[in-house]
Amino acid sequence: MKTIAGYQHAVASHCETGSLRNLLHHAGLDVSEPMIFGTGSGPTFYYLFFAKGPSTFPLVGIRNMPGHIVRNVAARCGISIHQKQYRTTEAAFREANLLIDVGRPVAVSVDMYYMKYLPFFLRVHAPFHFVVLIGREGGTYAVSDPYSEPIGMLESEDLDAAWATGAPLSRDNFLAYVKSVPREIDWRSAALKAIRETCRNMVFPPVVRNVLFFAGIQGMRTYARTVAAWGRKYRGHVLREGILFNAVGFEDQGTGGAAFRLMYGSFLEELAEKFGWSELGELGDEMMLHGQEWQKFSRSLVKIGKKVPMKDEEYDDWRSSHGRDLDEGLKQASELFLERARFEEAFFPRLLKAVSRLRP
Amino acid sequence: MIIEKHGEGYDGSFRVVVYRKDDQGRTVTESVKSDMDDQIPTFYVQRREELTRLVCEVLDGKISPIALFMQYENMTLSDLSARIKLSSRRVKKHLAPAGFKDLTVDVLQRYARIFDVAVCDFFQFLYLDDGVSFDRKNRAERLFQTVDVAVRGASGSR
Repeated sequence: MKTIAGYQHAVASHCETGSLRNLLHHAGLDVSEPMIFGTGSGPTFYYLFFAKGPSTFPLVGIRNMPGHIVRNVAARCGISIHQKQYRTTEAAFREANLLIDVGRPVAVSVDMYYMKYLPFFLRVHAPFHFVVLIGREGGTYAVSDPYSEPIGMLESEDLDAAWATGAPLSRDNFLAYVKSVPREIDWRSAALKAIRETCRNMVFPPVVRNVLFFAGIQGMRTYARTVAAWGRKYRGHVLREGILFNAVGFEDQGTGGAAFRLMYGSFLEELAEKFGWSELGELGDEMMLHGQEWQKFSRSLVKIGKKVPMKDEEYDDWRSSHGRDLDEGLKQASELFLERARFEEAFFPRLLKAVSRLRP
Repeated sequence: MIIEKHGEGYDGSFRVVVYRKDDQGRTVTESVKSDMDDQIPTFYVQRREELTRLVCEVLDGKISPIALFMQYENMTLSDLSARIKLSSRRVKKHLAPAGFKDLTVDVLQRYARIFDVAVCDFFQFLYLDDGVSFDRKNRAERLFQTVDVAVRGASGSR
C-alpha cells in the first residue's frame, strides 16, 4: 500500500509520545520522546482504589490523562495541532480520509484490542491507544503504531470498532494532526512550565494530601500499604495475575521502564545538556537511579507472582506451606515501594526549587 | 465461534523499548526482552484452558455466550455496559442463558462489535484440527460471516 511520502515510522516506548514524535518529525521538528513526555507533564501517580483493572486489582495510574501530553505540548510550544472529538465515527472517517489523501498523517485514539497487526497477548481492551494513520487503499488503512516495528494494516471495520467504544477513559472519534510548527520554539519556557506542573501533581499541600490520599506521593504510600496486604486480600490465580499485572504495568506497557521514571530522568538530562542547566543534570541522574530502584521493586513483584500457583484448587495447599514467604515477600516489596515514595517526596520539591532558580 | 485445537503461539519476538545508561553514562534506548517473556507462552495456554472452561459452562446452560466473551476478554460489567450503552442491570440479565434468549438481533450485533465477532459466533462452536487454516470475514455489520476453510497447502473451499 502507498503510504504518505516522507513519513518515517519509528517505534517508541509509549504510544502517545511516540505517535506525537513521529507526527512532529514529519512536520519538520526533530524532538525526542523524553522531551515530549516531560514537556507534556507526563509523570503522575494515582492509586485508583475505586476502579478495578483487568486483573481485578485496583487500577494504578502512572501518567497524566490520555491526550493531555498532546494538549500540553501543543499549548506550551505554540505548535498548532488540530485536536477534535467528532460527533460520529463517519465524520471522523471523512476527515481522516481527506487528510490522508492530501498527505497529512493523522493521529487517532483507539482501543488496542482491535489492532490486529499486534500479537494476540498485546490485544487488550485499552481504549486510549494512540496510533497514526498514514495511508489507505480501499477499506484498509496503514497504521504507524509505536508498539509495532512494521507498519500495521487495519480494516476499516476494525478501525470503526476501535475508534468509538464508549468505554471509560476513551476519547471516541478523536483525531489530531499537526497544522503548523513555529520557526522558533521556546523549549526553555515550555520545559520549566511543564516541570512546575509535574511537581504540583506529585506533591500536594498537607491538607489536600489527606483528601487526595490516592494521588501523588500520598497515593504512592497508600499503594505501598496495599501491596503488603495483597496476600490476605486475594487468593489463587487472581492474586498471581494481579501481582504480575502490576509489574507489567510499570515496566512493559509502554513506559520506557520504571513507570516512566527513566524517561523523565532522560528528559531532565536532555534539558541540562541543551541549556547548560547542570543542576537538572544531577537531578536527572538521581531520577535515573530512582528508576533503577523502581525496576528492582517490579522485579520483586515478578518473582513473587511467578511462585503463586495458577490453579485455584492448588492455592490452599501452597498457601499453607508458602504463606509466610509470600507475606514476607510482599512486605519487603511494600518497603521497597515506600522507599520510592520517600524519594519522590524529597525529589519533586527540590526539582521545583531548582527550576525556580532558572530563567527561561 | 472458531476454536483452533492449538491456535496461535508465541514466537519469542516481543521486545519493549526501555531507557538505560550505557557504559559512558549516557542515557540510551534499548529494545529488550521483558522479564515476563517466559510467561507469555503460559498466557496462551491459560487462555485456551479458560476458553474450554467457559464453552463448557455455556453448553451446560450456566452462563450465556455474552458472559463467555465478557469473562474471556477480562471485561467488567461496568465497562461492558458503558460500551453497549445499556444499564448494568440489563447487561447482567444478558449474562444468564434466560436473558440471552430475549436479545434482539440488533443488540446481538452491538455485542458482536464489542467482542470483535459475528452474530453467529454466539450460537455455534466450530472446532478446527491442526493442519487446517481458515479465513473469516464478517459481513453486513457482523450480521453474517463467511469462513474459507482449507487444509494447509491445499486450495480453499467455502
